Amino acid sequence: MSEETRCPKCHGALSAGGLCPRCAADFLQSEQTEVSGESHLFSPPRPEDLARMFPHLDIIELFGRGGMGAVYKARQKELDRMVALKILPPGIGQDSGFAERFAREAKALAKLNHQGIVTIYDFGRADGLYFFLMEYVDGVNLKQLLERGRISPREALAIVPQICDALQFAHDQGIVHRDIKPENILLDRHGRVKVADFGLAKLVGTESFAAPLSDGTDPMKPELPASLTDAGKILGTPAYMAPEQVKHPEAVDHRADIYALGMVFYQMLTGQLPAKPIEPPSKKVQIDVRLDEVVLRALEKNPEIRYQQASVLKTRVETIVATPSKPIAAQTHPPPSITNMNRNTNKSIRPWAVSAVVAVCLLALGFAMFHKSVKPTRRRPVDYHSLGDARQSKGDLEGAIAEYTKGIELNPHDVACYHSRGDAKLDKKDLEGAIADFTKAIELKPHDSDHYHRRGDAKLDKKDLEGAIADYTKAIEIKPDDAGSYHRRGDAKQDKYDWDDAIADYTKAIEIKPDDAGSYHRRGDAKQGKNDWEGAIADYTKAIELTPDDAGSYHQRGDAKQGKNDLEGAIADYTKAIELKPDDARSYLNRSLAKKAKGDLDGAAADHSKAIELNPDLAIY
Amino acid sequence: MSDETSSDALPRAAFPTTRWSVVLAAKKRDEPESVQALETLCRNYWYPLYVFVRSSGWAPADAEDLTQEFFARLLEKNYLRVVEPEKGLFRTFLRFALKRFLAKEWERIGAAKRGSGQRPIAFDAVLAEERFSAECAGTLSPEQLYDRHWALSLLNDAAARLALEYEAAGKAKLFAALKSYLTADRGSIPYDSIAAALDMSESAARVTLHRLRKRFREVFRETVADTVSSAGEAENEIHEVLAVLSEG
Repeated sequence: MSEETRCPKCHGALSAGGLCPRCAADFLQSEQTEVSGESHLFSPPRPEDLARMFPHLDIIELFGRGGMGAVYKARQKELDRMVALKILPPGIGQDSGFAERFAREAKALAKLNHQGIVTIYDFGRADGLYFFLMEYVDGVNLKQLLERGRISPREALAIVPQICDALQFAHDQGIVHRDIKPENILLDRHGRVKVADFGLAKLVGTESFAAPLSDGTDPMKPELPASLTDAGKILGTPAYMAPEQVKHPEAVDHRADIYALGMVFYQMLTGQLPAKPIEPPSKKVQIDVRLDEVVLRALEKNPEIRYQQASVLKTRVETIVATPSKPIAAQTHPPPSITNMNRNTNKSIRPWAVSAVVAVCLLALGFAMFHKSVKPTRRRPVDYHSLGDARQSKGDLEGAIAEYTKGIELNPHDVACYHSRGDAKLDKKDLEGAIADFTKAIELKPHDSDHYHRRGDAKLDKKDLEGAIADYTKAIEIKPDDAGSYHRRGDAKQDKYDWDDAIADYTKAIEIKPDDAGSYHRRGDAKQGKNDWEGAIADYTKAIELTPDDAGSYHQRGDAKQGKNDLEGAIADYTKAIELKPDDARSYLNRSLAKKAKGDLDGAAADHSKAIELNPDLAIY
Repeated sequence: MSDETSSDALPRAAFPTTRWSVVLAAKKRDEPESVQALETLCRNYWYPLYVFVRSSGWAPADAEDLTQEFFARLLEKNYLRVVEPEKGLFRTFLRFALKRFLAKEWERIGAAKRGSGQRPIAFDAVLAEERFSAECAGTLSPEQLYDRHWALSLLNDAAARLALEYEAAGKAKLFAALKSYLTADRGSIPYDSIAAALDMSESAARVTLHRLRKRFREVFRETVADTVSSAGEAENEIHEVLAVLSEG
């Protein structure tokens, strides 16, 4: 066997173990496809090819690809309207019954005419490819929204009833979705929900994409006859599938959709899919505890105990929203009851709450806005932001967060509340939470350098140094005379051991704010890092000049002097540091090292013992 | 740090205790498992460190000393406490610790002391240098080279684990025969010749190879996961590693 040093497929170099890294990466990346139903054999037709097959359409672009095929944005020329063209994978339709089944199912789906369901205009077969022509929804899907950050409970409660309406309508016509998941829940610019891909899971999933073997067995599961398997593919998306759907996919009814809805509801409220054992959503986020019951009942393993009708779930949610929850003690102002808020809105939460979020998401995704979303003005009877500030100043971080959260629920555009909540979370070391809040603030008000700065702080705390640097850089871009951001960026760079870059940033900070002892001190640290002892000493000296009682600067200057072997000087500085801060173990320790180097072994031993006495962890030295 | 386990309808094991998370959890208590775990991790990933040191400008002999000394320190009792790794990836921790070692400690270790300590992580310096000269010419920064060779080490580690699994099951020959198709394009696999070579039916060959490839994916994920400290990090790190591998 000859040694091959090049990959036979891509001709790149092989790694030492004989594997081709590029091809390996390709292969390993396709991991998800076998579980979620995507076939990696399916490469979608190019728009030019489709144009040939659909002369009455202007094929604009491919904008979605999933297990159910590929979706293109297109324009119906004569009607001058935007449509979505879905092409099913070519592997479909190999068995004789498929064409008939397709026609039958597609007809039933096309009859689903509801404002909450993506309408099917046409279907058929062109050039051997099965297709659907559907309503084009100008907006985002729930998966994209969830990726941006948690949807507020308010928004979730505006979305869920609409999904229920769509589901109930379809169920009444005998159609089960089977693959309810965030990706299939679309939201248009007005905040209206449209559920997509009804019934497709069943239609598409029963086909085998792998070539069947001559003896009828499934190549992926040879121990089971072909009729019970589906070429190793699972109908639906595992995380959202009801237990009965996993065990007996052929036998599910509409209650499987309700389970999936429960999953989506949970995810909207908490930002996560539930772990096992399921933790009630109100334990994870601040919501009305009565909602727990709704979510958990939808997620009942036994379909008999679950909600039997989507409309019942909807009614329950609306009831909870319309009736006030128990009053919370210790409030200076009574909270506005939810009944008051809904006075003008026919007992259901208007979708406007959602349209704002969709608009923000679309902006973030780079869509141009054609319509202005209508935001009714709202009188704020209570200034939650001030309440939160008051609590924060007393050190009650949890309380502060609660107040800010209320402010946000009241007004999802309240930048100040997001920012302040981020501050509070940062203080209590909920770094991920802080980052999320600052991110939201940035989204709402992109030209405020403060948000970037604080997000940088949070990232620095969690040691995401690159992320922190990027944020500080952005802050500086917006506000070029911000000494603080230069300083912090210097800190981040120092943590990465980029001494020179850090020094440059501190220098800039000093330039802007010449009396900042802290920046001199930190620049000294960075100079020490690259062994510039003289430079470091000079900086610490300046820092001491500006703040004469800073033990830390004396200590650090001591280190720098020791670095250049000025042992006398080092000992003097450590002594001063100890004088200013008598319980600093490290100063004793370093002084003992200096004394040892100078030959004063007794003195060294005494200092060493003192150091360990103050901090036993130092015993290793 | 939140531990997320997604609820699948299909059962999935809770996030296993990975080597690195064992090390982090135990660092204050100096338990033998954590030392063992750290040693194993170091043993598998010394080469990216060597690459980092060499491409930072150190000559081969110094680079060898340095890397050895660094590991000796790392595995010394209590050193982790001094260096204070945060939660996070083993990959980045190791690089930062090395940089810090280079910045603060290597110089202060007198020349006399160099090389006089124990060498817990023995590696073949000659081979290392050969590989370095062959693989690392060019314009990448030390960090980039480090990440690239880290990713390659993971890939090879995963393949090695898989080989061991098959060996333990008495299927070493099978593995050897199928190894070259581990990451091949599905369309181009010659099932008929494989079937002939292994003396089995073609459908059996398909199944066997499919299982091997599926297992390789799983083992790869496990190998990467061994170097992270929480379930949330694993997905991201896998994504990062694959991105680096894609660049070749």
